[in-house]
Amino acid sequence: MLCIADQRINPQVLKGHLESMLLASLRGGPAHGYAIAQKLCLLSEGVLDLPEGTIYPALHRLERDGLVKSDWAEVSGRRRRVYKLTAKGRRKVASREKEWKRVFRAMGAVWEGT
Amino acid sequence: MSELFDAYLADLDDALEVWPARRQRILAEARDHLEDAADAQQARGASRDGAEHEAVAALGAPEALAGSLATGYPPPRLAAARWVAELGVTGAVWLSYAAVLGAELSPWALAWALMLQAPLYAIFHECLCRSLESTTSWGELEDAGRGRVIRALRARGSVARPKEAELVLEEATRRRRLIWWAAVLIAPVVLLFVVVVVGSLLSPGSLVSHPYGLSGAVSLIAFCGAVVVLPLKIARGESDRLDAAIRASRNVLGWSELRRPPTRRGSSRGRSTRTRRR
Repeated sequence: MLCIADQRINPQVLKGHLESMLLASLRGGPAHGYAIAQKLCLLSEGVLDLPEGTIYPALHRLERDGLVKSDWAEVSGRRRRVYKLTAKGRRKVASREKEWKRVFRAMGAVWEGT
Repeated sequence: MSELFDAYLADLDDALEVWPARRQRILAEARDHLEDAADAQQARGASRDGAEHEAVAALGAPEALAGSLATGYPPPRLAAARWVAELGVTGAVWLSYAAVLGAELSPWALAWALMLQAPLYAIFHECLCRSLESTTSWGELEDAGRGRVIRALRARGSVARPKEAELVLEEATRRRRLIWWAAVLIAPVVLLFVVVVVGSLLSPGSLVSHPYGLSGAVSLIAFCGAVVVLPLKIARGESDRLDAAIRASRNVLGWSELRRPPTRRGSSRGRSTRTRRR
């Protein structure tokens, strides 16, 4: 599967949303850092081509806050650190999603009204 | 593993300021990530050498990655110093209780010391460390005004762009709030120590007859020692922490610049469309 990354947006737009995006990407199941980056890129059709160096610090912060937990696991014949959502993380991502959809609807209404 | 990956991981290892267990984990994760990224590029037709350069460039400068990973975690040296201080004080309190109660250095005396003194001291010490970590230079940066801050940071050779200074200011604001919380929490504990010691001095007999007298005096001495020693330690580490925060901010803001130009032929880099394989 290919990720087309020619529609990258200004990283400032994503400021504050990186952790939500990472949590959302883990809803589909556990994944390691590189797979998470690829999944975000693919699902967003290349728009969320995140800087790879920012993913691990964010994942570690989420783990410290108890929103994800990680463990070593064998993936495709290689030992990798795999992250998965905790119950707290699931609640957090659900509330963020609700919040974001509300903002999205509001902004859409403003754009259409102008 | 390739020489390029070895060199990158060695640089990352040097730049990391974290506990050994976490260091091992970070290095292992970085190595896996680099190998995954290089494999994916190679599967797309890139040469192995080019794929490895691409993987390293995409992960960013090792110093920037290390700075981001260390942000929010106390430096190991400070944490170790704190544990040593707490063990020392608990031991001193244990001895003092044993002396005051005329008992041997029994487990009961240790339990008594831990039960009555350690929690108070732990709270006090945590607050002290937090307040000292929020050194005034951060607050001064905030008050000095944006232009002056940028000039100061540029003079240090630490910040190249105004946006980096803005992130430093955000950090300053966060740390400054901690000072107030620490002051509110420390005040009653300090007051308690002062009352105990003044009371003991006014009535010297109580210094040996009352268990709080001697332990209070020991704690106050430890407090004075910490007040003198810790600011010196923090002042010495301040520059490093500021630079770490700046490196972290650079990782957020300057990632596109960190992606170096391709060093291989036949790469997709440089085209308007970049593809990756899952």
